[in-house]
Amino acid sequence: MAAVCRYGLPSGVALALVLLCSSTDGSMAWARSTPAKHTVIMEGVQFSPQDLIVKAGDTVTWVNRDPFPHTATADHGQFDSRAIEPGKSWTFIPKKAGSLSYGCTYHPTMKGTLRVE
Amino acid sequence: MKQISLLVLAGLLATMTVAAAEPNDAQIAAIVVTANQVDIDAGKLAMSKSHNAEIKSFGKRMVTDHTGVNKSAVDLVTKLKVTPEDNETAQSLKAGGEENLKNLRSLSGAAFDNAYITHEVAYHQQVLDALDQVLIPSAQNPELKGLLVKVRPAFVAHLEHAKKIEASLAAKS
Repeated sequence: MAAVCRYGLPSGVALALVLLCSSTDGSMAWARSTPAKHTVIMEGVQFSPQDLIVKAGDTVTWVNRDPFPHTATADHGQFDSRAIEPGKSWTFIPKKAGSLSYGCTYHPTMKGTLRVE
Repeated sequence: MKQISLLVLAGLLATMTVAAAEPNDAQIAAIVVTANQVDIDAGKLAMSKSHNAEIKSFGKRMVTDHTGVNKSAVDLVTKLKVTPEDNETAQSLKAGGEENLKNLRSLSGAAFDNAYITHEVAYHQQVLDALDQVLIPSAQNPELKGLLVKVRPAFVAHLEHAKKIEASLAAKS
């Protein structure tokens, strides 16, 4: 107790540092809890962007602008939109980090990569 | 028979690039609709006649995609108040399509699959050439030109897909 009184100021500084740290932590937590929204356009039998980097928890929406259906189907089963009709869209929220290669099951030349960090 | 059919096709499309050097928008509309319809009809035949899963699936894709392209073409020309105008090229395409169907109906099994996919490769290549050399440069209305440019990659994707299937059939035989 005597030590606290004697070193009152340093204790205050320590407290301020703790508050600062918790504030920093708080804002980081806030940044993490606000997921970004990403859009992949399906047009001209291509995904655009072809490679997309997102964070786990972000929202990824595929929008089909071609006059016929497409799919966004992961090569290893992580996601599968099934048919996305012209003018429609489909949303996926990746939960785990990893590099997911995907394609359209109807058009084998249509390929993309979703990198989840 | 396959060679005859391809010669007919090559001849018709040569006519297409020469006779319709400068088709107007109404004629382009008729050519686009006919070109899609010809491939839809062949796709339907492949779906009903082939026993090969890859060929059936490709045929179904051609029906779906070319029906979608035709719908957007018809929607656009309706909006633009352009009435598709029949012309020599559209008629040649239609006649060539009927000739191809006649040939395919006379075949079965692997012979059918090979003839169908070989024709699909040649057909998509020739339509692509016509798009690049005649249809896109001749289109006057910017929206019609835009539509042709927009659907062009579908023909490229179909061509690559058809070539892949053709190679896999050749590897099996």
